[in-house]
Amino acid sequence: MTDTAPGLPQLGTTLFSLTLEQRAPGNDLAALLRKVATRELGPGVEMVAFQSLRGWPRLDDAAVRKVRGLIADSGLTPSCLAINLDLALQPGRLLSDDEAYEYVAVQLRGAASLGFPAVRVGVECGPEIMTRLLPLAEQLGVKIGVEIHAPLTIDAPPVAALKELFTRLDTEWLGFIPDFSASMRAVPAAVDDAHRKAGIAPELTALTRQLWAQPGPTMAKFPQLEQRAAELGAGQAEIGNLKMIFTMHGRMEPERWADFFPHVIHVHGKFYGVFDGPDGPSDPSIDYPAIVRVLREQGYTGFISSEYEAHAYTGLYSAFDQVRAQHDMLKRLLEAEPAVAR
Amino acid sequence: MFDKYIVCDEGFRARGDGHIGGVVEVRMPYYRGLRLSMVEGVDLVLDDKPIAPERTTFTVHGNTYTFDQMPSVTYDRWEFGERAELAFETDEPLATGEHEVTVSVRLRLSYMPVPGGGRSTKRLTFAA
Repeated sequence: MTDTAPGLPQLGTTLFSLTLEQRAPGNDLAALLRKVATRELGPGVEMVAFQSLRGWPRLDDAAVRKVRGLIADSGLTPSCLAINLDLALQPGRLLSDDEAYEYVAVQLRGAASLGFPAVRVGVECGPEIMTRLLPLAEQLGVKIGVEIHAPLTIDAPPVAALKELFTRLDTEWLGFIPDFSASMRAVPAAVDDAHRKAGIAPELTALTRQLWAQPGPTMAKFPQLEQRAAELGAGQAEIGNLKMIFTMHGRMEPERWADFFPHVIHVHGKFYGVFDGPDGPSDPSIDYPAIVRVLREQGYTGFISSEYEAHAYTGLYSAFDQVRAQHDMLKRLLEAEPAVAR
Repeated sequence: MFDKYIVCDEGFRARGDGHIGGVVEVRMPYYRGLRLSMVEGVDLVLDDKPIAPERTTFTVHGNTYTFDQMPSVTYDRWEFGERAELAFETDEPLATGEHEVTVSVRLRLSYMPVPGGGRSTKRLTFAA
């Protein structure tokens, strides 16, 4: 395991990192947990319930016992279970608040039965639903964290509303799961290759990168991208692909992570590749030292789940090797960063 | 970005139920499984000819649905990595050998700014 010193954040892996590996024959949940443990990519382990658990959220007692047994045998520590609120479940309308509550509640109970101390939801799980879920979270002993993934920022209205709620309720059971994707310093290079393979003209990708790098909130740039890409002859499908650059890679200053505290229950270490450079391994698209500094300043001791996602763009790299490289870099940075007197 | 996984290389075969047509095996172009009510369509084009949805059915882990039924199927789902069977009817039996198969999957995801799903074309060998 990549153990960090006491008083530091703990490291771990989400099986989402192994999305491509999960498609290979023989890589069932048992095999993946074993491989993560053998390669010492714990101690924490997270998974996406609707990806890794067949039959979710209706697991019978035998399936629950089996999953609990697999995690126990691996020696990994369950850190968080990613669940989903599918508001578009019914055609033509969004779920009502009652339906949304039930959709999440059954998954919260499922997470508790599997031994997960926390679940991840998306920002579509807003203040109304979160407030209604609080008594159940408390009763089950499972924290609920809203993931703050690109293009969201602490200032986005739905996030600001949650911050206000968490401050008012002052509870340990609800909070944020900030994701490294919210604070990126560059669009990963692999995007260019993926776009080229998808037949998207390089000038369209370059235009999107250029708009991305300009100052200002990402959310406000979508209309500009649509207009300028259309002027260059892009069709709707291409524009959709270009928009994903904004959706997947946020530009919030890492220092602003301080504003998520003291309501951070878990952290997602989304990344697209750690590469060897002249000064050792580094990640061109994420400023790790800046994020690590905030986590140390805030005294964060929860998990950082390594979440490799370059598999969406390229199959060239082993996710296992990439998570190993990220763990080594994070451990070094975390242990080098002095604790700040609080 | 998961388009290339949609059409499975193996399993393109004749139907086993006496009807004329065939079966293509398909996978979810997404990182997780979804309830079938969120699968808005699995459109098939065979050798440049679209097959009408009412001439296709969708089977996951032994449960078969028509595309008329799918919008109300909120209790069953297409799992991540699962090979679903898209069965189709044709007027004439398919010739043994290579055919061009295009499958477009349309998914309804409330939290994405773009329509979900994907499209993939492969040349598959039909086993009668």
